[in-house]
Amino acid sequence: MTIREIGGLLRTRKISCAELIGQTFADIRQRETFHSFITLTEELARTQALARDHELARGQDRGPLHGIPIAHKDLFCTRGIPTTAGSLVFREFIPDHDATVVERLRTAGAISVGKTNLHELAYGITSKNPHYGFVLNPRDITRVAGGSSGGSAALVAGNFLPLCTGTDTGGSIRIPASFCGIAGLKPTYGRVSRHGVLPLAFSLDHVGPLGSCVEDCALAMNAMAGPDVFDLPEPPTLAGVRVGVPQNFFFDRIHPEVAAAVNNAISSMEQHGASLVELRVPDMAEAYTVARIVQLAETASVYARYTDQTLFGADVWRLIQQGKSIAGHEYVSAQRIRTLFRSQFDELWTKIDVLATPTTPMAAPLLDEETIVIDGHQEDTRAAATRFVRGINFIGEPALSLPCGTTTAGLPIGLQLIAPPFTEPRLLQIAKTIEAFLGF
Amino acid sequence: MQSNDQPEATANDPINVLRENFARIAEQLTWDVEPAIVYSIRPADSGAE
Repeated sequence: MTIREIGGLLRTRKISCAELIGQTFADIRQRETFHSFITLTEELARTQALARDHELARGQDRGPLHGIPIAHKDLFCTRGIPTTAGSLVFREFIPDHDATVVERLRTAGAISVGKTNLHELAYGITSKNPHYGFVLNPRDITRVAGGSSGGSAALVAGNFLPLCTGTDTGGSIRIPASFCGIAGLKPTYGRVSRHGVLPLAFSLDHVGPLGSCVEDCALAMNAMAGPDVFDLPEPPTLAGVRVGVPQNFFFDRIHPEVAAAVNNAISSMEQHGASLVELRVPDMAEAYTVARIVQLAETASVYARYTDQTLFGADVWRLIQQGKSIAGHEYVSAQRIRTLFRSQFDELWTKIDVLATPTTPMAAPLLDEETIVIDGHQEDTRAAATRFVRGINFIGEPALSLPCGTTTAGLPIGLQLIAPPFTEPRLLQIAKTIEAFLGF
Repeated sequence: MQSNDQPEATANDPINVLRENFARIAEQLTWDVEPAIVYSIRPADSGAE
């Protein structure tokens, strides 16, 4: 169910907040076999639910998120509640404060039921966590949920919760959203506070929502992001919207079924009034490479102090060691190249309102699929999954993934919409219109 | 300039593959390009709100 649907039940007294939370935990105990949670906070959630019920009885309504059950990625500090980052490094860490986003969502009336599993330290795209379990994809449990916000995506896709928080440093909201067939928004860099969120790479980390639909993401952004209003008056068509269709990079080496679904979505946008603008985009392969230099160096800066290899999974340890070898001049040069890309994208946005691309070049890979063959090319699965998303973290633009089709095997396919900085309200409006006529 | 057809370095590759690719990209930098300052685009990131 969506936030709006659940809110309707609460406000018409068809169900109370306390009953809803009780049902949510019963459902989790009965069906949640995807290793999506690291910590459940049932007692706290039940207490908050009673308080929200009392408020409604007094006529005090905090808004659309009042009484809505959610969960936070276990990278967000939660006061008095373990916050592990999916790592042994933080296995006994109990913060004395809430992340700003946690506090804002609670103030908006949302009730957190627990902390979600993730790729260790958020440093990977599978959420095959060696310490807290492999997160399975509810659409096909032989496949990864994606990551690093895998537990959050699985809980939404499994219809346990309409909304979870996530973070995205190189695709960690959009990749699991694509693989699990839900909506996920990486806002503009700086739009949502990172305060109280354990860092992976300071200048690439973004905080955002994963929701059952585009509107759920918009409603979450109202609480998460502060003063801007992410209301969604429904535009009947896409008239006047200039949709960029990249002629380079984003359609190279992708699965034919992904290409077909994304092209079909783009054609549908034109049928609903959008103007398609075919263009060449800046060199995103370069952006990907430079983003990796930035991420390796910044993450090594956070974790170089830890020398006990047994605390880390093999992949995360290897990446931290690689990051320690990045020289200072290389890191600074990477940030200088960022200036060039910023300028190129500013020019791009004079021609279009939104750029439409695949989110990932393939659907969710199998749990043990370390390499993947796409259109005849063998590729590292991690590199493939991040290929179309990582560069956007480097630029900082808002980008959203929403379902646009399924493979013949029934796996979700994600459409990525990228927009100019700080235009999330329009991006969400456009996405909601597309979501309505695509019907996935 | 790097081509999209080139294999990317991964966690399993020697870091030098990535660094060599990066060095080629960095050749385009001229002295007057300053680093992007992105850490605090908006006050929201301060946590002070």
